[in-house]
Amino acid sequence: MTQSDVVFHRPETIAAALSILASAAPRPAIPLAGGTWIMRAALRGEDTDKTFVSLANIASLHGIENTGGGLTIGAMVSHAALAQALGADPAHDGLRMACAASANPAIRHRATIGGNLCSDGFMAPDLVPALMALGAMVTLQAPSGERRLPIADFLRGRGARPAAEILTHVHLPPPRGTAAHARALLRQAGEYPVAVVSVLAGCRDDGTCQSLRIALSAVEPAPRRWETLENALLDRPLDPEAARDAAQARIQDLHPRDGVDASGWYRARLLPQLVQRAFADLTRPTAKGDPQ
Amino acid sequence: MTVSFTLNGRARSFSGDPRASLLEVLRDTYRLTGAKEVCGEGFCGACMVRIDGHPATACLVPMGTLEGSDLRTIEGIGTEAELNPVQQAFVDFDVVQCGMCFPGMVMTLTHFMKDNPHPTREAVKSALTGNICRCTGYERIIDAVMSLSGAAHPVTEVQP
Repeated sequence: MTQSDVVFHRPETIAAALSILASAAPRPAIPLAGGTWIMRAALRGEDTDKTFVSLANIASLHGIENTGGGLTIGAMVSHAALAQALGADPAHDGLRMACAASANPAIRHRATIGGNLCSDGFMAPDLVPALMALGAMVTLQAPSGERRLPIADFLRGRGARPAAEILTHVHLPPPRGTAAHARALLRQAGEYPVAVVSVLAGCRDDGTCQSLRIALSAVEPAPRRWETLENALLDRPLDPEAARDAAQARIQDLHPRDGVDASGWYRARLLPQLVQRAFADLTRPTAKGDPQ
Repeated sequence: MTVSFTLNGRARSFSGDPRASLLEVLRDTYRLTGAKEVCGEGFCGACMVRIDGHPATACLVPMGTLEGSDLRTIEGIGTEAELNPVQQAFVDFDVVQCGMCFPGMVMTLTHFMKDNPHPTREAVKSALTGNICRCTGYERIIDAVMSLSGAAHPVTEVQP
């Protein structure tokens, strides 16, 4: 079998993986993490004859490290492993909930944080909005070098990434504030959420909101921040009913998508309630910690 | 490329397309048809097997990732003479209807009960979010599982 006939690689370093990705003609090559998105390519009608470059044997992608008060998370860390590794800091409650409640137990054990970020076309990720709310950054490595950028910038360019590029790490800043993650399911089991609201809020001593990030998933084709709602709620006390009403008043800022699971108008109808639920969680810290 | 692994306690090696799913290979190469092909998306759990001790939907696992793995399917966790405790509880509570989802249910719940010998009903429901049953309405499944809580012989994953 010649090199070009090899359809599955298991490199042990990022450099080796990049070199395979850069030279994989005649077939396109793709990095393989948990596989839970790539293995469904046929169902989406996509080309399945690609060279798989498994990242599983690259040790540096599996770790979680404390870095300057923040966390650096390897791209191959699974949802379940991250849920276990996150401490009790209230700023991490949203991400922990996202990791512990996404999909189902078997998928959470395989699906990775890097895969959640790189699955272009997956419209209902749980981790991505929680990471946006936290102000996370990602490191991308390519043969030409390494760059670090905010998640929102990464998502904007995600549809046109170079073939030889690997998202290697996710960086969380030092935890500040309190987070919440509210998701709406049509049933309890076996499906994606129809809307997700992930929030990180930092409050002054007088209870007014000093910093606020609100990120949405499943509502539009890709996750996004809801900046107009953030601005409306800044410098005010955290108030679930007021947050709901402010969301209702700004629903026209969004472009909710139609899908087989739910119509756009339905997602829009749910959102103010989800915002209220997230803010209720922020203001009632003892009630947190039970993801289901 | 050859992938070597253990399947229900026997050493095996596979030299077909390493991008093929474990589910395809279990059913077509090894004729182990207990894992069912249903949704192909990791939603329904009908193809649940155990990889290195942990439940996984076989439809989403490419063979190339399985070098050195220990695989266990529904065919490898009990015998007709001696069912696994979850299987036995399903019989005792007359749980099974069409049967399509039950191999996966057994794989998920056996692992869950090993780690959670005294679960609440809510915890059992959470554990089952990746196993869909379209016949039973679930309550009897949960009754059966709850009967194992505090049983004289707790659920283990020890193999026959």
